[in-house]
Amino acid sequence: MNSQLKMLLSDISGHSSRHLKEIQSDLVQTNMLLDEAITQLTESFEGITKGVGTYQKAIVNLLPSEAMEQSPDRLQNIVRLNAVNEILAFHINAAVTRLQFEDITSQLIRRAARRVDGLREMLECLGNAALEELEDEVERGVKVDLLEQMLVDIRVKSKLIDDQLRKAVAQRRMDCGEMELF
Amino acid sequence: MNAKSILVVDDSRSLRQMVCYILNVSGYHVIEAVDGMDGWEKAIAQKVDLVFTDQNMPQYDGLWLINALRNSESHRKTPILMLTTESSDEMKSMGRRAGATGWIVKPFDPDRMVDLVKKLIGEPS
Repeated sequence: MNSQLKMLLSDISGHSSRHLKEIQSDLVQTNMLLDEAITQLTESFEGITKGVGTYQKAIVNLLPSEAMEQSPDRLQNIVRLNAVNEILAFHINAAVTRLQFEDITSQLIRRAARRVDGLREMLECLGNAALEELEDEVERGVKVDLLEQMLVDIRVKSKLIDDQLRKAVAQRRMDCGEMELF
Repeated sequence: MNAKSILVVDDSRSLRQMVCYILNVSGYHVIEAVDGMDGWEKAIAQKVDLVFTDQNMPQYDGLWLINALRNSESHRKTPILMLTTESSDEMKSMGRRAGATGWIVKPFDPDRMVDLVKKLIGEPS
């Protein structure tokens, strides 16, 4: 019975640790890819907005001046340009807000990775040191005490993870957050 | 005439990029820092007219930075805006007690952010 219990705990610990390690590795890799992607997207975004600005100035310069031409066509073109400007400004504003998703999601990913790390430590403690002691202690007939102590240790470690990982992100949508002056 | 300087403290490179882009386009000079200590060192080494700081950063967080700046002669009255994902009343109270001037919850609206900056320190130059 003792050897079966030891094998059960060891298997739970070993398999869980291995899977959690993979989850942690995937989370870290996801965060790195997101960081790289958002940096490149932001650079492209800045390049596009600069290009559009230069392009708009060039178009305005190409329009005949007011002194040369007061045709309805000229006025219509100016109205069109102004409308395009407003649409561009709206989309640039929205893009800046939406591109902030990486900062917000990376906090959640880092928190998940740390929690997985904590969980792995708990399982390792179950599978390694505690089991070695269990074998000795069983012979002395204090198995229950030892199991209770292991349970306490696990609860303490679990609480420690919760205390260190306060949830700082409550956002569920990418709507603009509030601003206030104190 | 030199443009007004704004210090942006955030451990997220992408967020710094966004804030810098918005403030640069609006004509402000921007200084970047990656955490509270880096922000503190840059704030005391050069002229800074306004500070944006994140709260959750490794080692030295936003509240630490606000306390440090408020205890320094040169930044006792410099406007400091918290720019953070945190939106709880408890965190805001802590920020206010530490000496923050205002609170902006991410994601921010660029136009409203620039309006707020102009309200606090005026036009870029």
